[in-house]
Amino acid sequence: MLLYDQVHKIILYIIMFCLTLVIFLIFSAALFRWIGYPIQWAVDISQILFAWIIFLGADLALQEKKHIGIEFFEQHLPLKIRIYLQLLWGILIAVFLGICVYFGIQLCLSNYLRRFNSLPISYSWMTLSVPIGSLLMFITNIEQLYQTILLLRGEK
Amino acid sequence: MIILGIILLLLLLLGMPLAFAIAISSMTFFIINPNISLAIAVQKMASSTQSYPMMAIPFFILAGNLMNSVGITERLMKFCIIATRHMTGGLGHVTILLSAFMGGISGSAIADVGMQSHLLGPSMLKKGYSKGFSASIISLSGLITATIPPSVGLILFGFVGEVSIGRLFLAGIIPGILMTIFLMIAVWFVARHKGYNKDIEPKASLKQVLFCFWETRWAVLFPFILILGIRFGLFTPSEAGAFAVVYALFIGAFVYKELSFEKFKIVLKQSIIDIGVILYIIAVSAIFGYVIVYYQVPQKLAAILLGMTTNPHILILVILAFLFFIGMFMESSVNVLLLTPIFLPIVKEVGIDPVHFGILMMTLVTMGAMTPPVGIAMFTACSIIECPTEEYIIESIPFIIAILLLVLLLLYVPQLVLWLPDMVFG
Repeated sequence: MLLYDQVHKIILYIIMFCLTLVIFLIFSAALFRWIGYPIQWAVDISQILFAWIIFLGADLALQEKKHIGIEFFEQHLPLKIRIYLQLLWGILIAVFLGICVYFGIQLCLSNYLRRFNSLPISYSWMTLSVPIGSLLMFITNIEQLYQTILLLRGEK
Repeated sequence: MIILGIILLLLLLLGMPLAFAIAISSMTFFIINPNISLAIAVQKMASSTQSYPMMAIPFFILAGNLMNSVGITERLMKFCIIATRHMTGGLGHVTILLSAFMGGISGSAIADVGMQSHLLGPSMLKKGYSKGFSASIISLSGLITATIPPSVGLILFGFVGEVSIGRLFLAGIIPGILMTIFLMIAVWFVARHKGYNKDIEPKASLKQVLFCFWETRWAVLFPFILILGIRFGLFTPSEAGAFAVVYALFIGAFVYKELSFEKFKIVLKQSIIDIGVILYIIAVSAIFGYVIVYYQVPQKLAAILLGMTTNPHILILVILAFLFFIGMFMESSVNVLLLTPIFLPIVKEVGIDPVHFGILMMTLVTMGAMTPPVGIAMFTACSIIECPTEEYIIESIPFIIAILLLVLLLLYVPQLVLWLPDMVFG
């Protein structure tokens, strides 16, 4: 797991860098437009980075268990049922993320030839953020699922 | 479609995180219709992030978090305390006024409520205010944040409904100020009734008030720069977001000198998590949105509604009542994403201005965060102040009434909303 923690740290720094870069790009795009040199590629690159920030950031939020939900009713259930529910949700989430990874890769391969308006690179560089982000979330989710199973064993 | 709704509600109520509940309930559509490729679901998620105006949302989240961390909030609070300390129920007024000012720099009601519960909750209890009173006024005053620009909810509404974000921003100002006044009146009534006027302090001198106000100038100035910038085409709403971040960095580093690189990294991480949560919900909502469009839900619902009545007054009341009701159960940004495409065409049909409707809609769906059963702002305030939910519910009633009265006023006097944007944008 040590390696995995390292990977997460690196990813966090990557997103931090991307977000800072996006701010810089959009801000300078405005400045350049004022002096009469609109730079469309800055916006396009920002949009690619934006997708990566969202889907990698979603994994970060999952690790910290920050994804919001309604705990009001669930809290009143017996502990045993809550753990089983958590297990069931974990499995369903894993299935969903699995679908995102599989079909995401398929999508990247199939529209590899599509390009951005102002950039000479494939549209798939943006689409790829979904399967990669989903894969990271899949791993995080499995890790959390494992913790739940351990909890269940401890219960018995 | 109904099955899908039931599954969504069931998953939500049994504690599945919102984003996954939306995603997984939408997946049932692809099981029912196996001829539609799941790649469409992934594609919808990916392409929903490729909207230029939506980029404003992460920027304003980061800018708000930055301004909170560089000491702007403390300065604003000091001013609010000085300005209202002679009033009955003083700290109640402080939280309302602070929300109004904070609304001008941060765009999220929930963040505002969490911060104020920490900042003001303990001193309110020390003054002998009841837990229910303190928690409910801190929570409900957060609603002001949702209308005063920059408001993340209004950006979202403008983006989904293709309504000018600059106009929406301007339209929110007068309702935000009115909400501040309405809530202050409600606090005054409640506080007088409960006898929270024992140890009020003498009125501060005008000089003192002005001095404290001068200290807050960088925060107060900000929404004006923003709106002027958008109005004169200096920047688009997204560029305004990037500008907000740079502004916050500049104020934090060079004017207040409270921002270090370490602090910046902490705020950046916290913001990335906030962004990951909110925008992931928006991304998966795109799948849900696809299903809604596939089943032609907007058209069908519109047909039912218009079949019942074509009287615009009754129709909008029905829609607003529905929004208020659904807002109690669903997160506000999801409501905006899913319901704007359904209701906006209907209200346009009967001649209601989209900007006018946007302000009313945002107020009502955001209020769901402050009411049971699932209000996030309510739970935030209650958990920090350690207030039992029952007490909160009872003591929030006068404030909810005040806001509903305001919504009715705004509904029947549309000029209150539209006058400012019409005057500035023509």
